[in-house]
Amino acid sequence: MNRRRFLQFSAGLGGMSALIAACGSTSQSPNVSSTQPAASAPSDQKLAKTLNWYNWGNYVADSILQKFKEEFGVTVNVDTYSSNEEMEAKFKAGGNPGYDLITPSDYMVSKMAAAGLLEKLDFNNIPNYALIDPSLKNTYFDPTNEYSVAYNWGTTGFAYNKNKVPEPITSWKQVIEWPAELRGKLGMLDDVRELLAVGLRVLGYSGNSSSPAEINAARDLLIELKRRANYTLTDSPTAGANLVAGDVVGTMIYTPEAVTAREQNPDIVYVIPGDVSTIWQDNLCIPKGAPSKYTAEVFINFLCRPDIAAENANEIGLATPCAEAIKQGLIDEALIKDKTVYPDVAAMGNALEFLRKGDPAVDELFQRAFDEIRSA
Amino acid sequence: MATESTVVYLGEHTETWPPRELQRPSLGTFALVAVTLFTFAFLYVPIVVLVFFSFNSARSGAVWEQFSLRWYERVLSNPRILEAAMNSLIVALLATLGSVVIGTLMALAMERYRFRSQPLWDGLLYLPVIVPEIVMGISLLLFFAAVRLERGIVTLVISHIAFCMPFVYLTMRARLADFDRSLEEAAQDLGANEWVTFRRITLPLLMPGIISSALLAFTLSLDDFVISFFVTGVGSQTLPVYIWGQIRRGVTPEVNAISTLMLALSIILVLISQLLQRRQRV
Amino acid sequence: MMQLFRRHPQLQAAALMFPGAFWLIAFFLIPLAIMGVISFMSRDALGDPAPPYTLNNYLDIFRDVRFNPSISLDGGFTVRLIEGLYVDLFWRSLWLSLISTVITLLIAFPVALFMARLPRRYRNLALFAVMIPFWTNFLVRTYALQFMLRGNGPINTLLRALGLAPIELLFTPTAVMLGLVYGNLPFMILPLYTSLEKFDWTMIEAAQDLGANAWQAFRRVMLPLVSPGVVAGSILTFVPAVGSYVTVDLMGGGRTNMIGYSIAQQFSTIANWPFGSAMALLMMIVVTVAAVLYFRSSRGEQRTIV
Repeated sequence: MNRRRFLQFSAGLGGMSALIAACGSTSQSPNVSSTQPAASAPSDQKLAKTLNWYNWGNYVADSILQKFKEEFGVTVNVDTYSSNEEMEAKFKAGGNPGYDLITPSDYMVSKMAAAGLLEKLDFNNIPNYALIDPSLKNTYFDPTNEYSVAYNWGTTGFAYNKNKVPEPITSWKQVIEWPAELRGKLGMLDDVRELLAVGLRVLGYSGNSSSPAEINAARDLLIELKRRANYTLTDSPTAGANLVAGDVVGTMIYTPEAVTAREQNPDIVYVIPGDVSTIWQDNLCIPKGAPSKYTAEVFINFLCRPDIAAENANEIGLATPCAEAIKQGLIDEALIKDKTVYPDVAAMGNALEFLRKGDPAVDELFQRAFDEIRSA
Repeated sequence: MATESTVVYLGEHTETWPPRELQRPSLGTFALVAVTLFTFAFLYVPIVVLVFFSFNSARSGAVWEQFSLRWYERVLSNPRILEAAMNSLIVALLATLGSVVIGTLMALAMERYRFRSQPLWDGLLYLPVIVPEIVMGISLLLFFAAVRLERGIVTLVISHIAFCMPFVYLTMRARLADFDRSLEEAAQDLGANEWVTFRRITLPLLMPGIISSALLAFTLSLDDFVISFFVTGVGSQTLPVYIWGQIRRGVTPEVNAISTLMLALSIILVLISQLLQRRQRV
Repeated sequence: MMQLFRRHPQLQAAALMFPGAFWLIAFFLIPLAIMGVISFMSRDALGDPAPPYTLNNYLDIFRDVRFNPSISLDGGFTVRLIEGLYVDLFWRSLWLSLISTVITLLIAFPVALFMARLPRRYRNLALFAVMIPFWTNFLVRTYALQFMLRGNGPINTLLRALGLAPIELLFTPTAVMLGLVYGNLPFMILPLYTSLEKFDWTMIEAAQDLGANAWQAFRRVMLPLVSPGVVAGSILTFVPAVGSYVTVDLMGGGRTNMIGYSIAQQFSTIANWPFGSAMALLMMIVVTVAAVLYFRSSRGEQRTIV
């Protein structure tokens, strides 16, 4: 996808994402043929000895990697990053440092593809792609399914200790109106767009607004909240740890860390506030210049195998994109029934929105507003 | 960051004066003792508590459950931690070797020769000590990107030499300033050539300085997180970079165990330095 | 060949200088120069640094500056004359670092003094005790402190056990200050100790014999002679504090912002390399100028900080 098309996509839809639009069709049989790329000559069909995966921290079960080694004799090395941009920088600066596989989030897939940093996948090597939930295909960031295979998806919601807040929290508006007596006990995410999106949405704007006036209004709202609630700004894993440790009683958080926090303390509740929350999707992609592209594809295929996908999802608390694993009943009952881990995307409709980052000018606008919040 | 002055403690101690205050304690002495004890408590309590809880079986919080070595088992059976530790050691050893050789040569040149650009180098060599680590890390990242050098052990070693070298230089320079050259002259009068003089006289005399600067460089390299964070590449994460990833995930008992092991390593290093220093004195 | 070297000391010097000079130029100055070039670049449609060259990145730092003298005690004890987002951030970072350096110095000086006056046997033991934290990984120590201060950490657990209300310690400006002091204490104690250890105490006696009181003896005799240690320790404490990232992140919880953290974010979260480079270089210049001025003002005749 070229840049202009991406921008049209981002600008025009006003929060309604392609994913949600496509959601009515979950029952359709997987349409594999449309995703087949033009037949390309297999370059090197031999498995490499090692595979280097640049992944988010704590984002794959060790047992899976062990099994892959047993079955295919390939050792998977995992290095970790904590933001999409941190990962992107490694590829922008001086080309691929030697990774075969990366896990960019939605907007980063289109950004990296546009910059020519991604390889097209050879789906002949990934037959299990047919088992992936069709609603996670033909996404706005990879409309023709050339570069990415869904790995996990989730939401940016709110987790709180039900014994320590006066009433259940169901909306971002309640978060913005955080009670003064719980000053210092609120956590927000140290992420430019996620944080400002909360302000924008409470004011009735899209989290993808590019209007300086709207962004500044959101900024003011969040500065006011900071003065009153004195919230922390941390990344999601730290937010989870803080919630468990009691340093905060409620925090903005991503699904996987919320699930982990809940396991450590049963009083913790995770909600996806209905006044629009962020939905995100992390994807398996092969960066340009990957030393062992074929092995990476075999591994992607392995990750899409129902038993493996299920084991990974159960262990890490992921929402598996492997529809077949769900159909076969391999996912833990508690997880699959949990509407916060597997939200009913179709039913939630406009209440979920992808954050589309990547326009440098808009990013700078957001970053400045964010710096002002941080320094307030 | 550390100081070139730290080296001096490894050197000869000048003769002690009778600590008069201790013989007839005054209010001032009492205050001094109190502040010192308080400071040592401040320095040590968090470390001791960390070590203590590394033997706790509980997953989180500061409540003692029962004695357990499970976190150590986890650490020692985690290939990623072992790999990171290995990377750290390799980088530290190579960086120490490189920075000691380069820094010592430079100190020799600056101390024993006179040339026009000397003041310039004098200033430049202080600069890496003064420049904030984050600036150095980012500029090295940009540099490796520009020259298309693949990030990994090589870039780590290059960067570590770059920030250790000035400290080695400053240490050696201070040593050389006190150096008694009459021994070298005597050797040459006795017919030894430059190389023999260097090997038999200069090098042994410089050894205490070399050892202390090597230990300093080794510590600086093992300690570094910020610069390593920017220049690390595939499969070359160092231990601090790994620990950083873990710490950001909150209180993980494995980190307590790794920290305790690293603490043990630093105690061993301090002991080695003390032993070496004692041997040098004899 | 050897003959040539023997006859030309300049060549010998050049040969000895070469590896170090090469390293310094190739891996310190050139990277800074590249950063300098990038700091004058704009961003292309993908956000990568690209020509045309511009001053905008530097101007942006000062864009919103206005005159507004004020003193505030919350969120980092700031005294300021002008106001503006990044200018404030710079100022606050320098200010917090200065305060942390002064506190560290005030704690470290008596300790170093005490250590230097101990009998030799105990002195080595005390030195050993300072060196262990000094040699312990900075991250590990900061993490240990974070663990202590947590809501369910040892301090609050103890308070609860005693029937007292837990206190919020972590993620406060005080915690950041504590982290800076804690992290840098050994770097202050050791150089101070090194100069104090060399100090000739008979000079104090001499001063007192000449009628000086304790304060005068300290101020006029001791301080000038131990000032190299004070300068070395202060610079080794101040510089890392200004650019600190780890401490701000682990102890501040996003409530205290310092310039080092903001710069890192320009690179890690929005990949705005030109603006990040401009801020980083400006920080380097400010810190270097501050350090050099401090050297000059307090060092007098001496030429090294050892």
